Amino acid sequence: MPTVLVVDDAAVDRKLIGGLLGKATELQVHFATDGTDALARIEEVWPDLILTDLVMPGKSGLELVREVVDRFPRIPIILMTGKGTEETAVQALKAGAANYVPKSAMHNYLVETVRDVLDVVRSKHSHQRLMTALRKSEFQFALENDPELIPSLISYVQSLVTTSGLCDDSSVIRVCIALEESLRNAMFHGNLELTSEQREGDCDIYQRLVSERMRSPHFGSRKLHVTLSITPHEGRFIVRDEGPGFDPSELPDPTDPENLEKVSGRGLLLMRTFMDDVSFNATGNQVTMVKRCSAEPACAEAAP
Amino acid sequence: MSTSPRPKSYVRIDRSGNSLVVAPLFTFASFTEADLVAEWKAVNDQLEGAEIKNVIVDLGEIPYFGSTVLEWMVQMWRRAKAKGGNLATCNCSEVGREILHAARFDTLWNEFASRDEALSSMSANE
Repeated sequence: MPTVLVVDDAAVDRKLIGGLLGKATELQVHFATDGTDALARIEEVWPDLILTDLVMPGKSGLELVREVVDRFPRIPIILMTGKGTEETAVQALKAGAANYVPKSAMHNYLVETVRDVLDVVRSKHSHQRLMTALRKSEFQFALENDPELIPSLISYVQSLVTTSGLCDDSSVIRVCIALEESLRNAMFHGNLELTSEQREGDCDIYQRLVSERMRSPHFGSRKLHVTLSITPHEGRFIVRDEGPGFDPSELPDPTDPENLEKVSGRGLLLMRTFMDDVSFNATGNQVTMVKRCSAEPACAEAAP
Repeated sequence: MSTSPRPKSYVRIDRSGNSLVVAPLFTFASFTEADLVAEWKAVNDQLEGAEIKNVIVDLGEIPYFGSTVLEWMVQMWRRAKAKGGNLATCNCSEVGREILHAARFDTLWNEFASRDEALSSMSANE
C-alpha cells in the first residue's frame, strides 16, 4: 500500500487533506507538522510520496524540497500552494518538486494528482528493476556522413547508458564526450579525409570543403558504422569509418609542452581520458572504446 | 502573421574593460560545426578590437564540453597572447576541470570560481 506523508503546520488542513486522501483507500497517510518533523518522519515511515505545504514555521516547504531532493531523491514531492506562494512554488519546482496542487482546488485535484505521481514513480521503479535484469543490448548503425546525425546519436546513447544503469550520470556524460570525439574523428578525418591543418584554417573554407566532400561520390558515399553493446558490466562502443585509416602511434602528444598551442588534436586524448580502454584495429579505421561498470555491487547482483 | 523562430545562440559575448568574456552555450548533442561558424566569427571580430587584450572563458553555462570548445579556447588564447594579454577560465564544472587537466590547460590558464574574480584578477595584472 503506497504511503503518503502529509506535511502541514495547520491542524485543520491536515485533517482536510487526510479526509480527502482517506477516500482513496489504497493510500496509507502519515502526518508531520513542519519540515524538521517531516525529515524525522521520513526515516520512520519511508513514504512513497510527500505532500507538503510551502509556508510553515521552522523549516519551510522549499527548504524541505531541497533537503529531500538531496537526501532522498527517489521520494517525489507534491506542493500544496496557497495564494501568494506562487513564486516560492516555482522555486520549489525548479529545485525538484514533482507537481503542485492549489489549496483552493484540492477537492478536485488532490487525489488525482497523488495517483498520477505515484503511477509515474511506480513505472520508473519498474523500469529500473527491469534494467537490472538486462543481460545485453546491442545496436548497430550505418550512418551517412551527415554531421547532424551525431547529436542525435549521442542523445540516444546518453539515454541508453543512463537507463542501463551501467554508470552514474556524470560518467554517462564522460562516455558521451568520448563517443562524440570518436564520431567526429571518424566522420571528418576518416570518411571525409579532412586534415587537422585544413580544420585550423579559415572556417568558411573548411565548411565549404566539408560540404563538397559530403556531396562527392568518393567521400560522401562512405558510411560510419557504429556498434553499441551494453551489458551490466560494460559498455562497448565500436566506431568504424570507410576511410584509409591512420597510425595512432604517429599522432603528436597534445600534452607535450611543444604542442599545447596547437589548435586541434585532442579528440583521442579525451577518448582515452574518459573511457577505460581505447584500441584501434590494424588499419586504424576502427576504434573500440570500453567503459566498465562503476558500481561493482550492482554488477555483482546482475551477474547471471 | 507568422514569425520565424529566433535563431539559437551558441555563445554569449560580454565586454568588461579590456577583457572579452566568452560564454559557450553548446554542449554535445546540441550543435553541428556549421552552426558555430557565424558565432565564431563574431567572437573573432570582438577579439580584433584594439582595446581587447584578455579573454575570460565563462564555462558556467556548459557543465561539459569536448574538443571543439578546447579548440576555440586555444585560438582565443593565441590571439590574446599575441596582443600581450592572457586567457582565464571561470565557473568550471568538475567534468570541465577534468577536461582542462587532461589537456594540461590547467597549467597554462588561471581558473577562477566566478566571473567577477576572473575580471578582478585580469585588472590587477594590468
